[in-house]
Amino acid sequence: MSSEELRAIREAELQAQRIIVEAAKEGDAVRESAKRRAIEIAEEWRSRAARDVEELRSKILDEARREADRILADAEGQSRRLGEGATAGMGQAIDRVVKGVLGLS
Amino acid sequence: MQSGVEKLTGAIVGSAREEAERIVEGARGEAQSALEAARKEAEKEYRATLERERAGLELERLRIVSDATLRSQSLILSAKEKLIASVFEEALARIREFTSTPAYEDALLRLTSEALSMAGSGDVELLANEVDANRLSRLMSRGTGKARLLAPARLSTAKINVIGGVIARSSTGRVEVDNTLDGRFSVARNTLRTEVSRILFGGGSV
Repeated sequence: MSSEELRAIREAELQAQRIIVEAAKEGDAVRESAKRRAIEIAEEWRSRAARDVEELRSKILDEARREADRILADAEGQSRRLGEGATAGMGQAIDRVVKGVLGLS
Repeated sequence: MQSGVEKLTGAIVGSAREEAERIVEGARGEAQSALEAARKEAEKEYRATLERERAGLELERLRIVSDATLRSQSLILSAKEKLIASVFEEALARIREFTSTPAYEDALLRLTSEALSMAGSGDVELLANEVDANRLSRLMSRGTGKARLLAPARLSTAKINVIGGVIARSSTGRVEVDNTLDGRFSVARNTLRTEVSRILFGGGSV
């Protein structure tokens, strides 16, 4: 084999090494990029969770407060009606106590 | 026509390119799997967070609603209590007024007779307020009709601060019957409470 042929083979081997080294670098870059993306994905889901929890909190607690307001409004109405309804029995009840105390019952 | 060396160098470079392609593809596959795993893990964490928060919020919702329910029950109870209290206040006012009417004398006589019969026979003294003591004194000196029932008793010189009625006390002090209007009113506050509630609000009592 001539020295020219040997040089051509040597150059081809060096080129092959460069190709492999470049491919290894590209592979590392792909893995690194995937790691960064994985961190971004985790962050995106955490942000989404925080946003959705806040929405859920507003929805559930607003509903609960509305229900509480309704319960209290009902009770206030019921208290008013109690007063109005009791007016009729008031005289009878007072009479019952007076008679009871005086021993007339 | 390629020479033998050209073929050899071509094969060396071609083989390197194939190897390079495998390396890059392998890295891409690893990256894809890692991303998929990260996505699954993040989604799992998201669902767990939402479930945990939902359970906590559900408890908070129950606390708000049961707090309102308790407050509403207390509101209704307080309204009923006020109405019952106003019945007893008004009744007491009427009883006070009644003690200044002529009809009260009969009631006083009955209250005194009751007290004497509960105190038993023997030496019994009667304690009353100033006005009732005068009334009783007048009735006892008259000694007719129902007033005769008062004969075994004597009026104490001590006066008590009550709306009306009497306390009958045996001479030994061992028996004392409180038949004052104040005492009877106190008892009525407890014994008539359920009945008053039923008259005012129907079936359910406070």
